Amino acid sequence: MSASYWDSSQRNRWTLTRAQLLDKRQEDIRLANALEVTQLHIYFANFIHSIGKKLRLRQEIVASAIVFFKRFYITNGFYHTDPFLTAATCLYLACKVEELPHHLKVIFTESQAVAMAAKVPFSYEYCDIAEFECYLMEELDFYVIVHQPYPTLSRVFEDLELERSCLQTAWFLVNDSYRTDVALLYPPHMIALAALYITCVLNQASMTRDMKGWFAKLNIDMVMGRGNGCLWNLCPLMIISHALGSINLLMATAPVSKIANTRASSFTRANTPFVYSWGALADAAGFSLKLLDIVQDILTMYEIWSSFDDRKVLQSLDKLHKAAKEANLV
Amino acid sequence: MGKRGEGRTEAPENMLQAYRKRREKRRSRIRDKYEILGFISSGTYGRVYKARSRNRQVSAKRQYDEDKEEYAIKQFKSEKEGATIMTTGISQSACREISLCRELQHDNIVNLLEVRLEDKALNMIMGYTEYDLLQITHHHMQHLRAPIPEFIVKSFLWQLLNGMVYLHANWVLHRDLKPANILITAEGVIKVGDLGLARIFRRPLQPLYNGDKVVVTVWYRAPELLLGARHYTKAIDVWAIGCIFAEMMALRPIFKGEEAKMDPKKTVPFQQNQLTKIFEIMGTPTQERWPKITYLPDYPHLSQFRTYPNNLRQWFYKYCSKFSDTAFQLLSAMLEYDPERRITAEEALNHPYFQEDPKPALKPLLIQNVSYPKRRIAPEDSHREHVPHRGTKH
Repeated sequence: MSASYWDSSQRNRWTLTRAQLLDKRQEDIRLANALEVTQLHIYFANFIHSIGKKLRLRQEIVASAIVFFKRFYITNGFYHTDPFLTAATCLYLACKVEELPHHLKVIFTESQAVAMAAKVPFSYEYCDIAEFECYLMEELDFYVIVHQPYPTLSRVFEDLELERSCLQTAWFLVNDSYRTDVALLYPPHMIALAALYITCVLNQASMTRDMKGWFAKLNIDMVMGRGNGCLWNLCPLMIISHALGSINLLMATAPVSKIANTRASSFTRANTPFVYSWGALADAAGFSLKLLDIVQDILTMYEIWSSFDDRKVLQSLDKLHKAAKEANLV
Repeated sequence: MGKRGEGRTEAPENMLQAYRKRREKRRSRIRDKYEILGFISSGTYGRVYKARSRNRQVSAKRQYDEDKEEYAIKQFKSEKEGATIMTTGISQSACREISLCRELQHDNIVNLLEVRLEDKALNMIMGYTEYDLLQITHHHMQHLRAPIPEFIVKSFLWQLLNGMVYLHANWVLHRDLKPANILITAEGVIKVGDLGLARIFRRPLQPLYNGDKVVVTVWYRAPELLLGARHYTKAIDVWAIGCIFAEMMALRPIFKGEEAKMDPKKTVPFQQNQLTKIFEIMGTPTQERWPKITYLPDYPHLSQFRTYPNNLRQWFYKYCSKFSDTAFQLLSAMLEYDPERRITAEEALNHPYFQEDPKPALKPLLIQNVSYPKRRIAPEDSHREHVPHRGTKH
């Protein structure tokens, strides 16, 4: 239902396991590879972000649009659709759903402008978006109400009276989380907590509240006495392991050294006066493992994003289309 | 570095064509699953048909509820019939109704079974309802010339409130409650319908007024809306329920004003006549009754009105003499001027009126063995000759 995530279509119809998601993307991955498919998803999240930015759309609309896009590509492949049309249509529909409708012409013109800036042909007409909107609705199985991490995030910051500057960081982290698949895999409040978590690790020096203690307590409460804020220890560990390039806990294909170029560079500056122990991982029960997964996904995404070349990503798209044609899939 | 599309065998627009074909092939036809029995009504949104499932095996298990095997198919206008879809795609109201109904699940809210895209038109397949409240009040007024029994009125009101408590708890405002939108099954189960104006009001990205300048059919429109409120609450739905409650008892709209039409400049007109109708019965609002009234944009207009005393009790004695005094108390709580003091749907559900006999029931028509003339179903194509307009009034 619209008020409760627990009864929502998002939870009951549109949440997948990682294995399911991987399975759905198999064809794309077979024609290209896993990294390229991940990069394409980041690219199109960026594309939607750019249009949203030009139109000064609210972040909630952009977030819903990206969720629609990702859901569309659960049942469809990049290999036999044009994601530029899908992306523009997702944004158009999201504006309606979030009750801030924009004229088709406006969305169309901006989409075309952003595509042109990326030297991509966008050879459609208005009616193509209008028509595709119906198909998109159908692909979404007509479930379009999206629950997002933003309300939880604001609520927690308010309740804990945390620094406003930190809210900003956490908010950006949530925005960026839409470049990962976490919105398809985890409940929005978990994503909010993961963003809060990373924020706290980064800013613990400047935060007045004992957030480590808070997370530890949260952990115990939620997993019946197991875990001792272990993730708190683990997060800096992951960051450090990345920075050192010693253990690649995350994506095997991603170059670790590039991390310094990204927004994630600040992670390496994180103060980490904790005892790191792999035992902590074993101790973590469901709740903290989920949190860990989300944190990990976000960090991985920054890493992939940092080593990103738009032109190369677009070449993978062409490669996909070509391979599909050759394999007679289209 | 080459441009995208270079060396590509398939142009993007051809991919759209291929996608379209693939999609159409996968889709089964509505007529394969449902038998269209006839045409019910039409409006600016499109038309509604009555249908029956072709697969009738399931219905054997459900024979206790005769409505369940029949369906209403609401077909939103397709491209062929208007240029709209070319330039706007899915209408805002179709988008709202589909997205909300898809998430809502309640006995007293219209039941959406599935949505289908066919020939570029969206179709909502819903449970069929034999009656609506407008039809039933008309029948009592014009044919039976007798009030609706209090047991039935109370049962309808209770269910209507029950559905509204659910909507409001889920941060949904209906914004178009009126007898024609209160659907009723043959057994007397209320199904609140037409969520085309409904929206989620939790954390709106912009003031509600900016999205829709005019909400609620004028006879059922709350005074805060008539006075130009930019922010409004669930209390607007409660006012409408109050008007519907009064209409069920009196068999006539309580505030039957003349709507001032939108002028060509599309400024929102001031509804002087509607407010007069309200003031005549409820009295002219004062700051005592409604402290924040002075903040409303159209408050200055109030000086143009005569001063009326509160005549609700007299009105009630005249038109609702068969109903109990508790009914009057509940009615006046719903027609409270100040939206902050107006009873909420949840409080109304717990009102003493529902504790006293006759107690409300879930299937009042079944219990009392009452039936009304069935909904008229026209042959499937007859709508083409005369298409009634769906005005703001019924």
